[in-house]
Amino acid sequence: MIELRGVTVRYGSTVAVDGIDLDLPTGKIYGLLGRNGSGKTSLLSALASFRRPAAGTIRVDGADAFENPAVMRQTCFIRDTLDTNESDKVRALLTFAGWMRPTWDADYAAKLLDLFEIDPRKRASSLSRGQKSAVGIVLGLASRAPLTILDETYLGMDAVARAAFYRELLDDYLAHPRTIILSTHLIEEVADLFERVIIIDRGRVLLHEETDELRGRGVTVTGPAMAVGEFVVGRPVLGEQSLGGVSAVTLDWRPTPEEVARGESAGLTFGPVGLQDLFVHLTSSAPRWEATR
Amino acid sequence: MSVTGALFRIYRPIISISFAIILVVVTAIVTAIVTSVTDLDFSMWLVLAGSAAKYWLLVVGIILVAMQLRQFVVNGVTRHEFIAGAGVFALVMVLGWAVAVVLGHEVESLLLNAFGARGADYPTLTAGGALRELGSVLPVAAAYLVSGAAVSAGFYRFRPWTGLVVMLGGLVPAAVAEVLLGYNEFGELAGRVPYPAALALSLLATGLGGWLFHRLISDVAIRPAAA
Repeated sequence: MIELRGVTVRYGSTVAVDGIDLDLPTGKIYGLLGRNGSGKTSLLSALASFRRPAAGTIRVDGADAFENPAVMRQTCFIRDTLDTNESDKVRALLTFAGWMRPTWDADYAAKLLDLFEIDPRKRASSLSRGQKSAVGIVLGLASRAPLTILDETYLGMDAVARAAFYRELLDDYLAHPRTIILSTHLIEEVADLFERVIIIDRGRVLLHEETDELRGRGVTVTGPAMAVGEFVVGRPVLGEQSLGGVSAVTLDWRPTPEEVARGESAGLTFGPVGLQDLFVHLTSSAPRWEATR
Repeated sequence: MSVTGALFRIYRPIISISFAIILVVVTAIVTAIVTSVTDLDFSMWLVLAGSAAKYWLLVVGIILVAMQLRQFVVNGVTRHEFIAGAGVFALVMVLGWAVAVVLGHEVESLLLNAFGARGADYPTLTAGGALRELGSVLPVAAAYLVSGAAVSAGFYRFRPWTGLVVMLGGLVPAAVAEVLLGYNEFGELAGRVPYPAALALSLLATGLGGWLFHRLISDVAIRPAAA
């Protein structure tokens, strides 16, 4: 179990992470979602002991994480910037990871390099943005660290490479179960991988739920504006769009079959809310999460 | 693999190349050129290799923080493990270079004698002289390495202007060692302070530099590489 209690990360007077409490059971794939500047990377940096929290504690299996050799050795945090010296060759990066990582799988790393078509003789400085991301993915997956954190590691990768990454991630996770935390902005693309989703906004946890529950919690009601308006009264509204006399309102609410039947008889249609839509609605500055008509 | 072991594997080619360059440039080329004109009345090895050794160690101290700290931490090593492992590595490097400087002086002395190019005032190394030289070179080398690491840690941890302020403190070990224990081309102490006091003061300054380095690094945030 990974436990975060009152974790706060500050940069001078700026509070990036504001007293976050989280319990993360191990052995799952988590999706960490949040807008730019929401505190995702700061939270992950604290979780990986790259940064000491200004306040609060992070415990992994009951042990304090910061500067704990047993915990850090089991943690692999890959940031969107490839954390290496530009003059290093890819081969040297992998060799070094092999020296330091007890769970490093050199054969798997070689296979991933082939998959992403990365020449191990190339220097980091000569890699494209997408190739650097791919090397980060190789380091992250081949480390087989019990806690693997990938922070927007897809940057610059084309659709084919990203699809290969998602496939490899899932296959390797199934073969070697571990805790994986993925931070991403490409929500729909990767949503199927998530077992649980954490949404943070302005340094605070907005939501932490099982993905399946999350998918079923919202509904989009579409129909004549007046009928929609009447139907959604008193329901928690996440978002609203209107075009002519037609209105579509997204609700954080799950209707009963009777309510659906009543709505349909009034000319309304009901549709699911995608994870990305839900995220957009939850984190848009207006209307806010708490908004209720 | 241990941090120390990994550092030696990383630095092995750098050490070999640096030593080879110093050896070839100093002993084979410069000395040969100078002795073709005149007998040598001072130790070219002490002037060039001695300086190269301490500045090389200063650079190693800088690079250890600027390049290796992040590399190790992102691969699951704690900052304290890094400090401990780098400390052992640094100690071996300092000892190695100090011994190399003294031995090189002896080799130079023998070679000059063999080729009849040793001047009358050349500082021939005796057993006691070797110990004195080692007693000077060793703390100076340690001080330069610690200074490099402390200065680099200041810039790594803080913004440039704060790093500049920290740099002044970080340079104290090297400055104190240079003033009190620096040696000239004749292998003699350049300072006027008695050796025991000079050594004590230099070790104190180096110790404080090491403490500063530890304070700066022990909980420093690991900055991302430039995208």
